[in-house]
Amino acid sequence: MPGRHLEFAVLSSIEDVQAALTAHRYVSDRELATSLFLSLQLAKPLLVEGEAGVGKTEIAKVMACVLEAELIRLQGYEGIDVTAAVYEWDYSRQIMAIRLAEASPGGSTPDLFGPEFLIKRPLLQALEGGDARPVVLLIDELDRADDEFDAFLLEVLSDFQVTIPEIGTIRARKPPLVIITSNRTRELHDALRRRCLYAWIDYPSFSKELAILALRAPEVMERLREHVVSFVQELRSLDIYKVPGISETIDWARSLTALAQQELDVEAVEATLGVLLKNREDMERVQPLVGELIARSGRAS
Amino acid sequence: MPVSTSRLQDFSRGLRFVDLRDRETVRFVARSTLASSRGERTMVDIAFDALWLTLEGAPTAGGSAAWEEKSEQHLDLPESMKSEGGSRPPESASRVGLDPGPERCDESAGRPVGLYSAEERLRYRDFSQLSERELEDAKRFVASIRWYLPERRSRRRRRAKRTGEIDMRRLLRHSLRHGGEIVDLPHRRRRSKRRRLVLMCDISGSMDCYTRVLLHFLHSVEARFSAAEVFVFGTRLTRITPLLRWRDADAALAAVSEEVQDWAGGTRIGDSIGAFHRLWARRSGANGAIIVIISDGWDRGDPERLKHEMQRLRRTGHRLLWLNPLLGSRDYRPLTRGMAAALPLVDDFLPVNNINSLQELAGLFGALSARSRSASSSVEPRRLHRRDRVTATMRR
Repeated sequence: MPGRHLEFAVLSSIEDVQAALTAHRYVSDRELATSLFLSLQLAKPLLVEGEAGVGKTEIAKVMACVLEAELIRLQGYEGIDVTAAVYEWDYSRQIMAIRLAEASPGGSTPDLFGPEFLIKRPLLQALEGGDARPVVLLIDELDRADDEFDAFLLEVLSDFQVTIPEIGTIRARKPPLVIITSNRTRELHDALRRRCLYAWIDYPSFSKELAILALRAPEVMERLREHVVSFVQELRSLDIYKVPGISETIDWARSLTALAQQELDVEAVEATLGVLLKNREDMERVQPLVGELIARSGRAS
Repeated sequence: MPVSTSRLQDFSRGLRFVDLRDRETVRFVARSTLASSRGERTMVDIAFDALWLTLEGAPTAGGSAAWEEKSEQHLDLPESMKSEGGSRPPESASRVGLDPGPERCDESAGRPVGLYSAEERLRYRDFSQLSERELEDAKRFVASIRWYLPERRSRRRRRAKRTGEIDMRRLLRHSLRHGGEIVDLPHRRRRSKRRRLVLMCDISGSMDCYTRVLLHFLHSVEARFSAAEVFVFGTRLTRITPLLRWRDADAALAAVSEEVQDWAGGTRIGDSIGAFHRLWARRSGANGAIIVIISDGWDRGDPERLKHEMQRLRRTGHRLLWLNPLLGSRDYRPLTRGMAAALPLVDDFLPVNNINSLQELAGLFGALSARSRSASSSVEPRRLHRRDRVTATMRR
């Protein structure tokens, strides 16, 4: 629909978006801010892809805070369908209503498809919720659902409406900001991809990760912070299976601080390696290299 | 790269909000609105840079050469990503099709000629000994094999007449029509989905005799199952799935031979499987897939690494098959370190040296049940026997 934009008058430029994100402790580069801004202005969903742990889901949460919107979350899994995503009738209640009507003398036939019998699931909540507060709809890990769900979602996202046979068509008066995340374990439906704007989030650079750590874990001392980020950056270049994401870095920095470490030494790192690496082979591979990594990261930071 | 009108509209609408002289912001707008995957994003970058130069008045002499240079610069992605954008139709005849084959393929004892018909003889003839004409026949034969993949049960359910579990939702819904009385018992059961297939074929020097026919085999499997992922490796791993999608087998193989850099070189199986895990395993949905490695096991890499990666592979996939063209020869023993390291980790160890072996493989695929590994071990007592025989010989 031409000329439509979401009713979020708060953010009128890319700089505004970036400033707002930073104010809410989310460090983003200008590219992501551009994509978010465009998503708001053009009223198109935003597909965010990237490695695990780079902050894809976090964006939706932060945007909800920024826009003072309600965050409605739909988690993707295999086999998810209309009943789980949009609505369901409360059959047991309906049957009860019938029984009651039968039991009470001269009772009128109840309206079996009234609002009290309708169970609203996330998509429907998102469509209807725009009246009171703006809504941010997060469709998380869509790649875990299947192709049929993609096709269904495409319909919903094209016109922001669903049809419930007994009631009619429900259209969103104020379309929500839709953010879809994917871990790329499956190729998403082509038409769905084309319907959305696209953003790719990479592992952060040294300065970006440093900034994130500063915002998210301010209790960590500066020197330790630098050393930690440098170490994790080195670690990411190794050939391990589960590369640690940003949340692992933050957790690790916090745990080291909790153990009253002022800097990285072999003992402390080996003890806390489980915060960074989450499987045995990776730990076995990295353990002998800890000393070297500490030395290298100490020089770099 | 396809760009629809609506995306162009989005792009132009997006541009209204930004300062057009700010190059980077315009680039970001282009990336968000025109691209829908990481590979496309890179292509948008290339086109954008080229366009920006033209707009700034820089001479465009060199045209497509400059274009290609830029693509080389920008694409520090592995080469296999290039094909994501859609392959150009290949023109030149392939190395694969015309090469008569090196002298290494020596004659070894085939089956006695005597009573068999020509077709029968072709079935049992080792790939390394095929003449050019026989090769053509073999290719056709391979293309005609029927493939069936086993299914696994999906979580999604759908209506069923009498099998499966009772569908409570439909039950209640139906009863509404009858005033709350339960009149019938509708059922639903789990749907079956076809298991994914991942094929990794060794194309190093030692496999040279077999590569041609094996590539045709890969092509026919991909033609049948478009969801199958196909890789080739020597010293590195290359994904050739999109290239094999050309209907014409020879054209597809021509594209493959252009794409693959480490043809007929050395072999590093462990490294290649490692690359698969790092780059492709999550993307191609290898979880619960049937993974097939085709290699003679001659490996220059570290056997410990190979073992490690194979263990990982075993955990990722539903079933792990190793096809070895040398297994056809009666004297073969898996004594190389690579093969010996990998052998205990494999579910099925099978020959792939002639058409008969491919047909048996097709049979095996069909027979694999949807149940877990241990449950379906009853499928191949014959194979176990062979493997036991071989390992027993090794222990001696």
